[in-house]
Amino acid sequence: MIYSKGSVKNIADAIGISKLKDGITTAMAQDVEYRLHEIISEATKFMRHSKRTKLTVADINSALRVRNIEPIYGFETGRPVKFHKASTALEDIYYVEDEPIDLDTLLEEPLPSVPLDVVYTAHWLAIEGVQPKIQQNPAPVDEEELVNKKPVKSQRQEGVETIPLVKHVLSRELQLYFECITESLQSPDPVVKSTALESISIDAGIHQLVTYFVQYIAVTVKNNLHNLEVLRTAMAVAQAIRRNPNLFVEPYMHQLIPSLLTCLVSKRLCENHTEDHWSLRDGAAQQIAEICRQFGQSYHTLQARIARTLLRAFLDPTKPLTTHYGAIVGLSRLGVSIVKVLVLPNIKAYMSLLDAEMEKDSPQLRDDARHCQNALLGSLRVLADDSDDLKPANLTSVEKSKLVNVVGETLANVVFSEKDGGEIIAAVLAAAKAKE
Amino acid sequence: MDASDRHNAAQSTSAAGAGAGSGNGSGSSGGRQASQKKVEKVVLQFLKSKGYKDAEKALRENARLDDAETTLGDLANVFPGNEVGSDASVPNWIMFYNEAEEGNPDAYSQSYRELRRWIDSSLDVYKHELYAASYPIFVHSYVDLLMRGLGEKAEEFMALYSRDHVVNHGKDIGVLATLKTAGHAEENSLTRLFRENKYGVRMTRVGFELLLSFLQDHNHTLLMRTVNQHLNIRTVDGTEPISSELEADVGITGHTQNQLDQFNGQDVFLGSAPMDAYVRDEVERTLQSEAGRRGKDAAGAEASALLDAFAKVKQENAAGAVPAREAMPMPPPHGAEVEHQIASLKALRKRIALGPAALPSICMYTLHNTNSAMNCAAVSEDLSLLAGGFSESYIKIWSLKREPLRGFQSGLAAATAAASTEEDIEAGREKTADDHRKLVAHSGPVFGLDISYDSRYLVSCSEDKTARLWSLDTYTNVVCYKGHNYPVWDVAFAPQGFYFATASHDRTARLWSCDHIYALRIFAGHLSDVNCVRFHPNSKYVVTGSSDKSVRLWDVQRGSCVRVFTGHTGSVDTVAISPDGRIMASAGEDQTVNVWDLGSGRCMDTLAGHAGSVYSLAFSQEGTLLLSGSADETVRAWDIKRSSSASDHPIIAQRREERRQQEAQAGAQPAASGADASSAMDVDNPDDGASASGAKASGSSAKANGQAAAGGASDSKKRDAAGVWKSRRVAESDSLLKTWRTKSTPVYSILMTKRNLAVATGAFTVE
Repeated sequence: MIYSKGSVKNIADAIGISKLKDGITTAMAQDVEYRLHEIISEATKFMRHSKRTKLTVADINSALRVRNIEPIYGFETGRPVKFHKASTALEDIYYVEDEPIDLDTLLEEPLPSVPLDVVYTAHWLAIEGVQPKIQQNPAPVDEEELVNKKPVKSQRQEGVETIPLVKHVLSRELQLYFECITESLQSPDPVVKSTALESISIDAGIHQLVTYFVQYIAVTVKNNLHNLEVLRTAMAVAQAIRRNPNLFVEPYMHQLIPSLLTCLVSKRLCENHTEDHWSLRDGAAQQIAEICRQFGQSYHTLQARIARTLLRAFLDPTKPLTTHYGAIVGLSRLGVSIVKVLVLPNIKAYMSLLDAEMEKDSPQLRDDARHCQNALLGSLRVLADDSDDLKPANLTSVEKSKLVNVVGETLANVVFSEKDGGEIIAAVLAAAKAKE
Repeated sequence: MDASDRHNAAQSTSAAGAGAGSGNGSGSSGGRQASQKKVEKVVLQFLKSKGYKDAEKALRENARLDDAETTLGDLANVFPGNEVGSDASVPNWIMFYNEAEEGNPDAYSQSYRELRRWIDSSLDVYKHELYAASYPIFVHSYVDLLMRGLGEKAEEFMALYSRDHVVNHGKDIGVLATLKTAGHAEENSLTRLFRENKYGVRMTRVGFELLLSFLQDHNHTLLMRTVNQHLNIRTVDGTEPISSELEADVGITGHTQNQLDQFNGQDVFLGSAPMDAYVRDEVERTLQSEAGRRGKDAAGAEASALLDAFAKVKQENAAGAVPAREAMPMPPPHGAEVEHQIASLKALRKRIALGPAALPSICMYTLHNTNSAMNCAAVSEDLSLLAGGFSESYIKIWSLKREPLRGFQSGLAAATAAASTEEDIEAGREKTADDHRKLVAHSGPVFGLDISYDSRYLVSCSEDKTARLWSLDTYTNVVCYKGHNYPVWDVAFAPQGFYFATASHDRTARLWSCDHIYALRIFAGHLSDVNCVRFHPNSKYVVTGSSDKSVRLWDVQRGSCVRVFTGHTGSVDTVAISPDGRIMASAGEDQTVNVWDLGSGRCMDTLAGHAGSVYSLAFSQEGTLLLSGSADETVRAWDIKRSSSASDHPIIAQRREERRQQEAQAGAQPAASGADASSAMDVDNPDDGASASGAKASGSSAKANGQAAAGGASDSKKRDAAGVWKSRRVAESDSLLKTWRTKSTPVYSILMTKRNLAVATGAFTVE
């Protein structure tokens, strides 16, 4: 039913008939709808004979004239009417944009240009059955492409502009709040920024904005890959959202994690190599580890998937050292078992790669390699922290050769020079033995 | 009712019982009396139910009827309804009155559902025809529900079952679904069409018997009533089952099936128009003098070659020509016609033979900046002019040779122009002019235009209900033809000019001559808008296509319809006839092109492939190739298989056969005893071709030849197909030879020149 009883009532009210019986409105609505259909089917005849596929106001008027009804003046336009679509809770409403025109400006405007004259051009559509490849003919396309192209075209032809649904749902206040927060996050003043972050982490009424914040993080990370400060802010926002007890972020994790992983293993996260992007990576690793711990129960494959991603980065020798660093840190944060299973068996092979990098005559590479080495040391320390009950091993040459077997010479030397070297060696050797 | 009748009635009760029991209602005298008796009983029941006691009593006394109930099944069995060739719908019984069904609003839905289920489970060979028959039953059930004020039930019914018919009848279903009340159903043009006309369905005898017995056995009297009142079932004999639903679906034509067959059995003369003696002599004289004067040089050689070609054309023309008394009267010929004849001879020599292996060259004229306001376009035959009709009521013409189109200066009076010499006229023309002109006079969108064969006149038609004639010498409106009461959709010139035909929203097509301001003929018979009109090459017929999904062939002289072609599933927007006048193609909204054999009225081929309405069609000069232009921005070429065209309508064949037999009998030759019509045809077969050709030469049998001329040449082939509906239908047509796409340009018109060059026109559309 296009034309409802309610519409009839409204119109009756408008012309001063207030009490209309229900039966009358029903009959009226039915009849009006039928008459509309009649007129429209008549109008389509005119459309078809004009070799068009869009119905125009002129067609409707022609149909009315054929039926000896006074046409409706004032709606005819040269071009097809463009409908806009507005979605409401109950149904979609289509309307024609009707902008008020200021007569003064209209009068002051210069006259519109004369429309272009109708002209003809001639070309060969086919020469003895073969279509020449000239500009006037369409480029030959595969049938598949044609099929793919068509639906897009028909959508465009509808002349309907779709306004997304959410814009209507988000209240003005929330929009203002969101704008305000994102502005503050960009401010250079650390106080303003921290206030904004704090607001995100404790405000109760901003749940509708979570998806926007997640989107904001994703876009920010994507667009500012080399701007360390902005990335830090983005990570802080992620942290804040997660920390807010009033927000239910679980459904948005899959959107958040890619941004975090980017900040963890990306090749370059700063303009200048001397900047401290390592701490950003550490922070991201920490967040990922927290997420895994928090949602690991409900999503069993979450940790495994992240670990697999990181391991692939770790074991790929073509990846830069910065990525390796991120992968090692990320893996170590994921817990002892991950380190035992994924990191420890690969340390020795990896150290030989790292040794080769250290040999190179580049201070930056050497610096990166040292960070990686420290990260590995850190992962070994995770093992040590976990096994408190083990007795620290003696720093003898026997122990050292055992250690070299597991982690390689360079790292073994580093471990030996550490204060807590004994505990580390004991833990590593215990883990290695358990593995065997 | 006298005593003897009563006596018979009383006597034959038992005989009727036996007849009904055997299920064989073969019109014996006993059976007929029994049926009468039963009808009386039914009448009695009716009177009783209505409470007409006196009448009931009187009838009872007169007819001495007992009170035993008569079932409708018994009644139905008595009627012979399925003889081949007869209108097989059961006689109009006074009633199929079943109170249980009448009172039950769900009866239609239930009955129809059962019918559907039954059809679904029936044998595949009969499914097509049964589905076709179920469509009118569906429509009438729906309308019945509406008429009885059960709007909601009707809506429910539509929602449940419309799916079955949307594919073939989508547009009608769309209209029907908008009906809401009994009032709408009464006044809607489509329902009126259904109510006032019978819906034709073509069924095999077995299929029809199956349907009838199903309806009887299950007591679906409501549906039975629909079948009886609103269906027109033509049983076809033959071993070949009906192969598609469309073939079985004849639809509403405004004629019963028998009438339709009579219609399509009428003689038509499809040969070419006789050549005017003056033109013939004049052409010959010109060519001869040309050849003689130039002697041995190239031009002279060409002239003599043309002379040979002309001799050939003359011969062909004489062979198949329409008898002079049947031809259209034409004004006395003038010099231009001779020139035209010579030009077309030259074109004939330059013609490139087209076929599936040799596709044509297509020149495309694209119009820009039309802003979707151009409704139609036409190119003159000599490719000198392009004309377009616009929504803004004007016509614009362009010179395709980019020459200035110089009209006359406004000061020049008509009288002085008539008196002056050639040079004076030239002096009276405008000194400068653009290569395009606007023709302004119409007061509504211009929907159709056509340029005469000699490019001297243009005729246009418009929403303002008029057609206008324009002179392309002066570029002015010469005549305004008023007559139609509704917008005029299409206009077409006759091949030799002078006459033109219009097609209008008022459901008529009209014939006009340029020198009369009123219509000479009104072709009335279409049940909806006439969308397009074209002349047959011999000017004796016009073909019209209509929104009622049919195409009709009209005899121009008599103003009567001689062929009805049904088979489209949407309105027909364009038609074309092959230059030899034998076949016709029609297309339109349903995106398929149907190719018809004009002689037999049969569908030769259905060409599917277009993805939009088809706007225009054109045959190659040999008639072996068909080009179609469509809203889907393509031009397509189709292979026309001419072999299947050489057939004739079964009735014509039969009639001719009868005539031959009569002649044979008159000649005191004993006819082959016990031979039926078809075997007699076989007997006559060997000397048939000889007699046809012999008749042409000898003057003795000229009378028979005149009537048989239409089918004369095709005699030997038609017999294979006689009596059998042998139309080929293909889902995705393999006759499609090639598709050429344009750049966002729907193709409005296609013209095939005498040299077999195709010219397509379209308006570039910007979204």
